Amino acid sequence: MSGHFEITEKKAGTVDIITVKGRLDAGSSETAQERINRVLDAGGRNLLVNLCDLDYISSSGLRVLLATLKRLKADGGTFRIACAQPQILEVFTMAGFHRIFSLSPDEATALAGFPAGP
Amino acid sequence: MAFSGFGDMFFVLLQMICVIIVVAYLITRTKSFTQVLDGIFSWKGQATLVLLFGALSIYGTESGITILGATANVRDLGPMVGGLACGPVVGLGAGLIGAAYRFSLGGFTAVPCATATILAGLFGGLIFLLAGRKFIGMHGAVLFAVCMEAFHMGITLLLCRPFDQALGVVEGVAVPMIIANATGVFIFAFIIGNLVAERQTKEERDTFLSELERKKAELKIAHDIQMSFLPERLPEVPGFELAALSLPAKEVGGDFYDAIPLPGGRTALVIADVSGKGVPAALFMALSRTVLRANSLVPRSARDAVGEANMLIAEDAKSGMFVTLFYAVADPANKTITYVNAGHNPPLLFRAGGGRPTGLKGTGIILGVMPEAEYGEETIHLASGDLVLFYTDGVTEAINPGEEQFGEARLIETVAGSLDRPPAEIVERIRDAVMAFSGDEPQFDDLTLMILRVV
Repeated sequence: MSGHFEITEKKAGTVDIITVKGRLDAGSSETAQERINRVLDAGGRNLLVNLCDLDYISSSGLRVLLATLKRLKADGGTFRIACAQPQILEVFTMAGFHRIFSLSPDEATALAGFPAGP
Repeated sequence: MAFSGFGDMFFVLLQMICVIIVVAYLITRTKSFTQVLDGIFSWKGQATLVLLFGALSIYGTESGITILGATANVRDLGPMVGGLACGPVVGLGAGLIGAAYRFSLGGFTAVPCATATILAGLFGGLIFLLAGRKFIGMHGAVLFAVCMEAFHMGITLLLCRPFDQALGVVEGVAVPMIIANATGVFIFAFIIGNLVAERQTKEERDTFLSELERKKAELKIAHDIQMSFLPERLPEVPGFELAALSLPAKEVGGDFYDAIPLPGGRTALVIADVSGKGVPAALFMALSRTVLRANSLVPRSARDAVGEANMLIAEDAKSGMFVTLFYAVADPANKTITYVNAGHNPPLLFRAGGGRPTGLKGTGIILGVMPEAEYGEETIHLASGDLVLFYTDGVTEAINPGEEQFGEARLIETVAGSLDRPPAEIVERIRDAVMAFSGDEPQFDDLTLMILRVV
């Protein structure tokens, strides 16, 4: 089975912050997708995914991020990724994701990039 | 049967109980009864149940113990259970049959006994309706039986004259009748409860099994689609040796490879990894492969072929589907390959002279994400003996039981030690090395390899 994987949620103003830790691979990406969808289903339009402690991402993991981006774009929301580690950035770069995602070095910077709340 | 003591009476009751157990078992296994449990109330089914519970009521009368012209009996049992488990129609019907039989026998208590039997079926049926058209369960049923028999005694005292004689009868039969009927209802309730639980378990198991079957069938379909879109045989590539292998994971990922002969003796080589799994991924793989094939046959540059294919795929890509792809045109006349890497893990170029392999890095974004994406292309010159290894991340990301990845280093090591072997053999060596490394760990992702070597 897949290795360590953990996903947590919190809220900062109007922004939903989802922190994904460990391995986001074929084994865990379904769980991640469900959690993210639940936040979006609940009306979340500003989503920040924190990858500070993400060790590994596979193509299934990329797919989760891409599906999230597509959905938020269609709904007029904002999606930002914070704190991707070098090995994750390498995968993003290889896939060309750095060209379509808003990547921030840390959570605070990413939060500042969201439109101001009501 | 006249009774001469409590010992005899309990022996008779025991006999009765045995009969009730058998009858209860048989009635609850009839199609008519299980239909009612399913909420189907056909006239034919209800008529059958009326007759069965009516017959039980007659048996209840016949098996009774006579005291002073009145009988301790379980006549009310059939109508009560019929009503409680199958509704007022069955309860009342069985009650009327039992009552008619009792009435025909005549005797001092004929009227109250017949009345009580009809009411037993009717009340049972009303309780069925009040419980929401279902059986109320064991406790309620037994309590109802006790109350019903007490009521039966009550109307006997009320309707039979002279009162002293009625009181004598009631004193004699009240306790045995309440016990016998309550026991009978208990037996039925127990068997019905068992039946309901059994059917529920079976239903859950059936649902689970059919779900499992469906999933298996889906995986098989996905697998078949994927396999049918892999080339059965690789074409001869003049000036090159070519070998490929694809091992789909159980939950198919949608890898594919292709070798498309182009005009001028050139060949387009493709390796790709579709995101997602199952039938959607397999269909997306089929779509991507076909689109790419069609576009590579039109005379144009590699980057235009991929760019055009991307536009078509991106328009079709729903729910975040994408495909990483490496597309290379091998040209034997110039000994070159010209490639486009759309987000695929870099193939490794091993030079004949040795040294570390170089990765053929990305020249554009993965397919299916941005319709207007532009792709770059690179051309490299090859010499005799140079080898290019194309692979999908299923190879390097295969994990062992210790959750270590096979990794690029092991892959390079395996190939570097086999450079003098034919490509088909190198492919097998890599497969064997990955298998040996993973051990018992299940294969998570498709594993696809292609090797091109300059003759």
